[in-house]
Amino acid sequence: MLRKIASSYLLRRVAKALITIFVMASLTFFLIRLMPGSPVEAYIANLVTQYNVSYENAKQQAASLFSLDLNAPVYQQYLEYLGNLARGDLGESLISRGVPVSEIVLAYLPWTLFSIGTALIISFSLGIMLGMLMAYKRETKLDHILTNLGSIVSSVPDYLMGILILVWVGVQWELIDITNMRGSLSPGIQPGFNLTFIGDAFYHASLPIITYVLGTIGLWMLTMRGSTESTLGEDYVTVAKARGLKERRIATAYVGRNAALPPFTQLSISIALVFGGSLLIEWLFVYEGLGYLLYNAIQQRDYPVMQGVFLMITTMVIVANLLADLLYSRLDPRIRVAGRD
Amino acid sequence: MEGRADVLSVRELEIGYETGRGLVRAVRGVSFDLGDDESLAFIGESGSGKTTLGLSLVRLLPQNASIAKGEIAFRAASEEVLDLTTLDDEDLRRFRWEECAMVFQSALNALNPVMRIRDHFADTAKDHSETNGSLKGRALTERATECLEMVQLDPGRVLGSFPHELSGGMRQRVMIALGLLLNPRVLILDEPTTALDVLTQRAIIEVLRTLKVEHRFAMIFVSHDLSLAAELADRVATTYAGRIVELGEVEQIFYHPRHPYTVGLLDAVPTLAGGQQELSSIPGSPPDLIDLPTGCKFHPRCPYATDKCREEDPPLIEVAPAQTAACWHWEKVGSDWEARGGEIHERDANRA
Repeated sequence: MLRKIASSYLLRRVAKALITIFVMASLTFFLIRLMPGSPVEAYIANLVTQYNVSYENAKQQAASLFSLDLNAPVYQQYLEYLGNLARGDLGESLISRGVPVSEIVLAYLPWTLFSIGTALIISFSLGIMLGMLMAYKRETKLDHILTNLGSIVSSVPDYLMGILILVWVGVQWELIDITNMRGSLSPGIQPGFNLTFIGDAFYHASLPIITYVLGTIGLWMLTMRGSTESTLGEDYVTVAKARGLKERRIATAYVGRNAALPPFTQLSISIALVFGGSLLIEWLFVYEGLGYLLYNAIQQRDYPVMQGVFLMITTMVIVANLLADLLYSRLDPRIRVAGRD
Repeated sequence: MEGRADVLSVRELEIGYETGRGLVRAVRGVSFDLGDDESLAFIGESGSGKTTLGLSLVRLLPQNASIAKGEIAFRAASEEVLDLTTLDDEDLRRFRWEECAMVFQSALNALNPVMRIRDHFADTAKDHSETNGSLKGRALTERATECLEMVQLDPGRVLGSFPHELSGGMRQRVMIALGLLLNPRVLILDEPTTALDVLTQRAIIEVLRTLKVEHRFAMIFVSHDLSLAAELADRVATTYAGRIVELGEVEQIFYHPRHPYTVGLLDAVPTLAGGQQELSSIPGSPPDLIDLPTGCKFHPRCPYATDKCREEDPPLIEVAPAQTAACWHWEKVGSDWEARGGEIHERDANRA
């Protein structure tokens, strides 16, 4: 069985992702539980002093909220925590009493996934197309302009980009109505598979999406430009010309297909960066995704929710990386056979 | 040659590379004809313009190279004579591979790494479907199978493979098979065995020899490997500093060379039979193609050089029926060679 897992790239990769999530969950647990002045202790102390609850009662309340048994030894608490986690039980929110954390997190998650996913798809496809164009038109005016634009946008941090958009486009030039664009949906719009809903979702997500696109597109453009240029010098491209293939076919299946591999490997790294950046961006644009949720949770010291968001974000990053890796192994047949690691 | 229909005639071809140092004259006044089912080998050292010549026949010269003058006339399957130097892009695209296929020196990297071999065949057939009729599905598989069998590969295994799953020799054979797909009139092979180990080289030579016997199409070899030329060529052209210095039937070139450069090349190859004969290399190195010597370009390295050689570049002189050599002293070169006894080079005859 183990040998079978080891021999299959897919299984190996999935196992690795699961292990990473497990390590991550454990770290989150120990951080919250064992840090000096841990949130649990702080919460208990808060209850005792503020509401004059007895220490025992406070402790019980804390235990139920964090879904932890605070009397048990740490390893037992840890096992219980893992058990709960496996059932998807992340405890309950401190602020919205009785609402499971998982429910809250899952309500905010789709918006983050939607905005980041859309942004990465747009930015990656646009970026590699522009990169290819630059390589085909290298040393022309167009190439110089795009190369400079690419380096400029990729060197500005995404939150700064967000602030610039907000301040210039929104406040100073008043080109867009930033107050109305807040939130993830306009009031009264019901989720459903119709144009009004989809249009409204895109309307509200547009500023975060533009920010993510601007923050990442420079990287794809510059990487793709470089890799296209070297691919153009490959023998199989010359041979494809000698074979009398049409320019279009050569540009897509021979040049583009191979040149897109290096930028694609950067996608994995980029996913984590964009997820991390989304915490600030969503707060900035008041977009109701995980980042926004986390910001509020931090403000209100809602520890279980914070823990839930952290876990969810890391899980998403790991899953996205896994998907990117699996997709890469489909794109490059050489990986499939040789395996990696 | 007489009575033979020529598929390709090259006249006074001049090709130069524009470089920072000046114009590199890679091909200078080359003229030759290629018969319908003839195989012609261009042999010479690296940098003698052989590859440039090969590339110019499919108009795949690098950006900085241009055909300064001369003409390349190609008699297509339709009997129409195409002037390759003036062909427009679309006609040129169709000409490539349909009329003239080329197997490159760098076989290891000639196939798209993310595509299966089958798709390489499909791609080639698809983009030439206007003239060849659409070859797809079962018909394509059949034709690809046929081509792969011609080069002694197992189609069942190879068609579904990615290039990295095949060895270097197999990839080179796939390229040859791919070259045969559209039944070209001419197959150009640029150093087809160079990157391969000796055993694989032999296998490729065997494949080519079988093809040459069983299928009628013209071949041009560009190589520095004399044994390849000896085994596969009907005629051999020795090239030096961008021009043909000797051209003749394969037996004439190997047994009765009349140009000192050909003699030098032959002396640099070990023979199978004679262990006594010492190998000698040609002293000096090929000339700088930007700043060519005056007169005969070979004179700085030539033991026969005289004042006349330093002043006047010899034209190709008919030294025997169907054999020409560009040397003022061809008679002396010839008599010296015959005196030494040309039979030391008989290993090639023994093998062929």
